[in-house]
Amino acid sequence: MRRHRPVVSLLAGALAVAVALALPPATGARSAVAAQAARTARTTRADLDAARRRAAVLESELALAATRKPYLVLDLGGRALRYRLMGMTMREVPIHDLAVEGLETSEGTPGAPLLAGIFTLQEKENDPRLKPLSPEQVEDGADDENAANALPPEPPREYRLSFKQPIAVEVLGRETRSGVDGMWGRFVGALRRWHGPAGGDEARLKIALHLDPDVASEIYRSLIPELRLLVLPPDGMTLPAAGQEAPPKPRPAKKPPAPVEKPSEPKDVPFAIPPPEDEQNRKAAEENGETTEPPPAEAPPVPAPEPPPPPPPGGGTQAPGPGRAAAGSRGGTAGSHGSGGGHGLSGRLSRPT
Amino acid sequence: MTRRETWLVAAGAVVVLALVVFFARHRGPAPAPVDGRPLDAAGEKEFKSLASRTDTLAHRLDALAPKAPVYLVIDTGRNRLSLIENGTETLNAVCSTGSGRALVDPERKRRWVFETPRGEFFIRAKHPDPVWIKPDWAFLEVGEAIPRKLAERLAPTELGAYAMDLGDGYLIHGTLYKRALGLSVTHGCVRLGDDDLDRVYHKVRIGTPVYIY
Repeated sequence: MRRHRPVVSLLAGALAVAVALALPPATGARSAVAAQAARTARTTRADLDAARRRAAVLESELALAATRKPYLVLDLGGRALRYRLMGMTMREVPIHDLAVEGLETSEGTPGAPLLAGIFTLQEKENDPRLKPLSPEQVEDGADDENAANALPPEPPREYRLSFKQPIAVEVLGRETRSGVDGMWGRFVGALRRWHGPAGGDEARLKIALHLDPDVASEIYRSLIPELRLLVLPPDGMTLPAAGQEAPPKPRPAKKPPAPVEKPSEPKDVPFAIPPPEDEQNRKAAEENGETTEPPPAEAPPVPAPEPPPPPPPGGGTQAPGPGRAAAGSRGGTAGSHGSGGGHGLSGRLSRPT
Repeated sequence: MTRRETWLVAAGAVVVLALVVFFARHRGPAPAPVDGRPLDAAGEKEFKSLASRTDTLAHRLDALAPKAPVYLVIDTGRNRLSLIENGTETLNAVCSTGSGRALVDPERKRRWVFETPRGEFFIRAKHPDPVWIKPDWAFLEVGEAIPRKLAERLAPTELGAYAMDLGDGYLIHGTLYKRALGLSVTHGCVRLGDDDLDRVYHKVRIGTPVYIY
């Protein structure tokens, strides 16, 4: 043992250096400075930086919330992924681990897009919408009353997300079991971190998120093209200039529901189709000499018309809503996300959509 | 130092170097240190301006949150529908939402994506005993010919006891396929089980907001 003492000492010293390098930088110093600032109770440059960050986040959030569409907030410092809609946090997911490449040190007065960057999802890996049902699958589904039921898509646990901007996000659903059971998962996770986040050379910001496997699948299901992602760098860091979008223009509120029209009876229908329930109630009230009910309290007050939706990604021909299909229509475009899979309902036949 | 010890030292050095590279690579750039220096007059002015602006922005953001006493929240990722009454979740029901699959009609060059739309919607109509008029895709996806007569498209029991119209042909309705509740299997509508459908139908009114994410 005595013969190996120099070697052991050398190794121990080198290991200590490596561990020191791996530790988070100067956390003690940061807290000491903050404590000193608090004691003096004066506004510091750190406070100004924090205020700039908060203003940038709120500017972006307000613009995204006003679109009335859901968006994701990826808080790299807080290690959380939040689903937000109109300022409400619909869901918050903790990030077990993450690897980021491309962040820069905060210097000078960084612009708002570097403190809160908005990116637009272009495609998720193996998106089922990109693989239409094949004739064979249609044939297989012919025996079933509902082919979609026969072929439920299985969402992946690990996938990559590509954006319109040069950034790459990889989601890795990994078990986070403790003890010996989780050793393999932790080892694989460490190797993935060592390898770095996925993404080509053109990606200026690469992020790998380690989530619970089930959560990763759920997130996958809820992701659709054109979804906005707001990335918040940790304190003291900024995002690289990666083509962040300017905050989107607010979307006008949707029209409040119009008074229900009496649906016309389609030809060849062997029975009468009942009108909507509220129509029945209103008629009954009018017959009894009661006044018509005012609009419901929760009805949205702004009747501004909705702008036409953008063309769907991919440029594929979109079919009209099923109600129109039933009425024999052929053309038209679907919703903003290339949808058009709704159901035709008897009462909607005479209604334009 | 013998030759063996020299080799040991060299091997140890290689291991340590690998460790350093392993950890250092993922530290990334160090964040800028906290600057505890007090602000000058210009900085103070900017800080006050920012504080005022953030208050305004936060207030405007809060104003966007729903004020309705009753609204629905649909989580397409977990396939859950929540009924919120006066800020409290009074129902958390299993539902089914869009599969995200696409279907192509090569003959007429049409394409459908069976996705539940996201965003803010409102209940636009309520239909008891709805009759579904099966659209073209319902026949195409099972390899059947598209019928010419409307009567051949009618499916009186398919949508369950009630349907609530969200606009653009999307509905919240019942289902015959109860096994599939909790799965993303629909053509864009939101399916509910019988009991949950009954409860939701009698709680919402025309104009009730629905938030889908």
